[in-house]
Amino acid sequence: MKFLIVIIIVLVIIALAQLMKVYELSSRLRNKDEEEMTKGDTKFNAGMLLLFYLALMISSTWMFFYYGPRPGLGVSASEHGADVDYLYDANWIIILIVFYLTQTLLFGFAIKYQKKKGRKAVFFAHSTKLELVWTVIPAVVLAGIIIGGLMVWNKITTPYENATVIELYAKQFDWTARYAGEDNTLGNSDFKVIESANPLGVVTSDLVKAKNEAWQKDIEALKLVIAEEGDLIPDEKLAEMKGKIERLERQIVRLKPLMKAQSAESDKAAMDDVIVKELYLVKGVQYEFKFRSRDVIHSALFPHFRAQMNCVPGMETRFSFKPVYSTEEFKNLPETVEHYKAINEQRVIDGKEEVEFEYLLLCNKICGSSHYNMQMKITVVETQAEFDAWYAEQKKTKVFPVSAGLVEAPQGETAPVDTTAMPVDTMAVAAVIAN
Amino acid sequence: MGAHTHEEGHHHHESFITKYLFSHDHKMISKQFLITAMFMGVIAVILSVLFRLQIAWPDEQFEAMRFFLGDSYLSDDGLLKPDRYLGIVTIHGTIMVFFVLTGGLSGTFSNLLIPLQVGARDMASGLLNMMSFWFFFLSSVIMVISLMVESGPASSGWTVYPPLSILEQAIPGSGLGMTLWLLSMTLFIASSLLGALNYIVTIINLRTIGMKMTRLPLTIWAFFVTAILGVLSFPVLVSAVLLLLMDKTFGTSFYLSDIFIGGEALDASGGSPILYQHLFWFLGHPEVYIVILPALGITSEIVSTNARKPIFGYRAMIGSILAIGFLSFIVWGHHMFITGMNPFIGGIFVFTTLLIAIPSAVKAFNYITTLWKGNIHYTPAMLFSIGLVSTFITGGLTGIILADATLDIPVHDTYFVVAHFHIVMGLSAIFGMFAGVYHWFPKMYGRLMNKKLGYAHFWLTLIGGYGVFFPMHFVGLAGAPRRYYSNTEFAFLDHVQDLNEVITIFAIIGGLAQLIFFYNFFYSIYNGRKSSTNPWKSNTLEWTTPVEMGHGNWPGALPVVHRWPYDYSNPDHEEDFVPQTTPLKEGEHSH
Repeated sequence: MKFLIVIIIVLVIIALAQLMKVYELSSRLRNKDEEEMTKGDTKFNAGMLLLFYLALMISSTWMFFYYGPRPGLGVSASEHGADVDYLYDANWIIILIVFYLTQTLLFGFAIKYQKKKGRKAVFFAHSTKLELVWTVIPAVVLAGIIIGGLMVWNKITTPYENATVIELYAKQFDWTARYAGEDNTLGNSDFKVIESANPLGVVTSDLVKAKNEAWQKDIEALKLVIAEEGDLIPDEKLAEMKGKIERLERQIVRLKPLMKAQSAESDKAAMDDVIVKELYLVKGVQYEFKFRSRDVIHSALFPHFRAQMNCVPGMETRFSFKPVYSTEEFKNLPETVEHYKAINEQRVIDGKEEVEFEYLLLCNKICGSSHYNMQMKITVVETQAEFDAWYAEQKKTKVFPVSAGLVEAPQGETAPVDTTAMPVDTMAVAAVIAN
Repeated sequence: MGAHTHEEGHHHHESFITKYLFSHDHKMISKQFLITAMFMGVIAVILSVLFRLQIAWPDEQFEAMRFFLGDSYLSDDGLLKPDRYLGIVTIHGTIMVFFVLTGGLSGTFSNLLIPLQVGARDMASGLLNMMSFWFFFLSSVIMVISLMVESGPASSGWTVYPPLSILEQAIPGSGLGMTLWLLSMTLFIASSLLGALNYIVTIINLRTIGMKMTRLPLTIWAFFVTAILGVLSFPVLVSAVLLLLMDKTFGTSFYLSDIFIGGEALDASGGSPILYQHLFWFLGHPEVYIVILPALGITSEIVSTNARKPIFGYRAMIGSILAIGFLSFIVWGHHMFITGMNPFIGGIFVFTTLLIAIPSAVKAFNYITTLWKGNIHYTPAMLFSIGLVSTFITGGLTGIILADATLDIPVHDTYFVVAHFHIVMGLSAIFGMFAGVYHWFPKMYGRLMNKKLGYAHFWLTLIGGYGVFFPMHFVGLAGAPRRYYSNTEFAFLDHVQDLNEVITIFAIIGGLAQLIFFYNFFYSIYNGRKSSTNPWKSNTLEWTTPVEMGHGNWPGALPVVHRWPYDYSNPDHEEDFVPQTTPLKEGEHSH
């Protein structure tokens, strides 16, 4: 196969070379010159310019009509999204007018003033008036665009007064959500206390104490081994163990500020947090999402809600929006129905399973090999009652706190922990803490 | 002018090594840059066709993948591995932005044209110039080698945002591949700085008698501002890259904080990944103007020459180059609207970014007016220049959306962005580069490139380019994120999948069209029609040198300049061009 490709390429090159030679010889006979534009050249290129111009205009117009400014996404499912869409439409109108106008002038002049024998170009080097015109007009239009844009920008970045707080937590390659509970306050969190049973690193005093104790115990155990069998252990292994002790000691020191920051209130705020793998929202409720990341930068993109925010390790970012269509409502919008009908028709042909509309959260910042499949389902329900039913169900199993420091710590802290696993026996842990 | 005014056109004997390898002659160095960049370009184009195949037909096996990438890039089922997909996307971007459009474009044309158009024997420092090329060459080699590393090339996108680019645990490409990337970039920046300093000094100091700044061709103005942008911004990238390297190798934490990965909490604390983004885009945004300004300069020259008309608004053109250059330093934040930046700061960046549209609009309208009532010669160079103006407008217009923080929210990091910058800086800049090659080929090799093949190349490239990047806007508007290995996990993107297939087909057409250019280029070096001294009847100084130039450019004294470079179809003169060396007639005013 490779051989064949190489042969074909070589043959094509040889053929081209031969053609070139024929062309060279024949043009030499006709005494043509590469430097001069012949009538034929001019005619050919003018024709092509015209064809290309028409093709560009027709295909771009067709695409704008066929796909529109939000292909397949439909109306905005969030309140502020309507403003965003409106601003889009206004900008598109300006952009399209300028696009058609300038391309028409460009191609029009390029074709109209093609080389003609005896024509001498007009010596027209500058005109202050004209230049002022096309400095001032864009400036005025842009002023409008800037003012319009900033007005909407200020509106949508102003936080809601009494928003329901939800944390969205990103890691390679999935999303986790944390509801703040009845007090609408998230408990503190810190990456140092992350473990398989506490994937978001939520902090409570008990948990830090338990962590502290567990690490102290590990240190003592290691020290004991060194004291008893120090002479028998190979140097390398010994160094490794000592390194581990140092590391644990360092970690214990780093736990101290966490402990200091905890209070009865922050403990309480953490205790009622609910950690889930699916996002449930109520239509018409104002939400403030707080984003964190565990490892690399991710970006939470909610295409249907016209919302996006990066999740950056080491800092917390926020975005607020209010859903205005429940999943059911959006699914039954005529536009959505039609769109998914078309998608499913094609999927049947391709032998794929049919799909239903659902809101999704995507990762939109390159984050590793499975970046392309880092998603979370979002369900927007119609009433608070529906939400409450779901929430009660979640609360049974997915309430914080849990700590592996209190249950058996997984063997070998450094081994990749299956962090996607949710707490196995939360109730038991909760019971331990209660005692 | 000083030391260079004495006779330097002497012909000392040159060996193969001093003539072709370690040459100090700006013309040879320019060709070295061009040919290196062309080969880097081939690699980048092949990579792009390969990942386009993956996006369009994610479930298919392609023999081409195995042929070009080898088995290590493929998984057991013969498909491209997801992390290697990101690797080739990253290297494609890096090569195109830095090696083709920065090193290739500035390196080739600043080197070739600055001494020739200002009337100098060579660059201010031939030695630094030679070093500039060899740093560039070395960095190119390292970048290509990084593709062959066992753990894969750098895979965190051409912007190499940390922590992904630092943590080997996050993606294998952030191991040796990333280290090589950083090494290569450091050398590349050294090359750019050596080049840029040389360009600035040459333009300021070595202009021939009569060559006032206001008589410089717009190419030189563009190269001048480009070089200044480079000198001011690349050092910032060096620091960003070095800090990244230190985080990677020496355990510092400039960019890292609060990270739990691979089952352990890292010690790093107090750093910020956002700091890197600020540093990177402080270069990164001027960088797009470093790419586009030379192309616009080349276009100004070619449009004027081939429309047989003075460039419209010469001073406004210089003013807009300066304005774009200045503004480019205060807009970088528009790449970071959704990093959690303070909305007020975001608003300021919206304002400054949209301001750039004004000088850009002035440039576009000035080009269009230059065509008006001209006598347009459709040389391949002219066609590429017209193509450039078209893509510059199309791509620039969608910039209005991305500059607006509100509108950026839904399309940030989607294919809309990819479409935007590929049209406005990818296509435009590469069109400028092709225009330059067709136009100044006679100055490089004393021969002309074949016109007919040039036409075929232009039309296929224009159709391919628009065919790839115009539909891509709609893929982005549908919400498809960039850098996705495949869109199959998201059914709502199904209906733009046929667009993805169309895009890939156009990409293949556009890619293959470059074979015509390659063939034409290398064939014409040896067999092209011999050029006359001034084949395009142009005014600028480079066309006053003999066709076969030695080191030193002009065999006799340096030319003396009497007028601006755009006296085309001047009614006071018989011919439709008046070279800059023609003295003013009695009563004629200098422009």
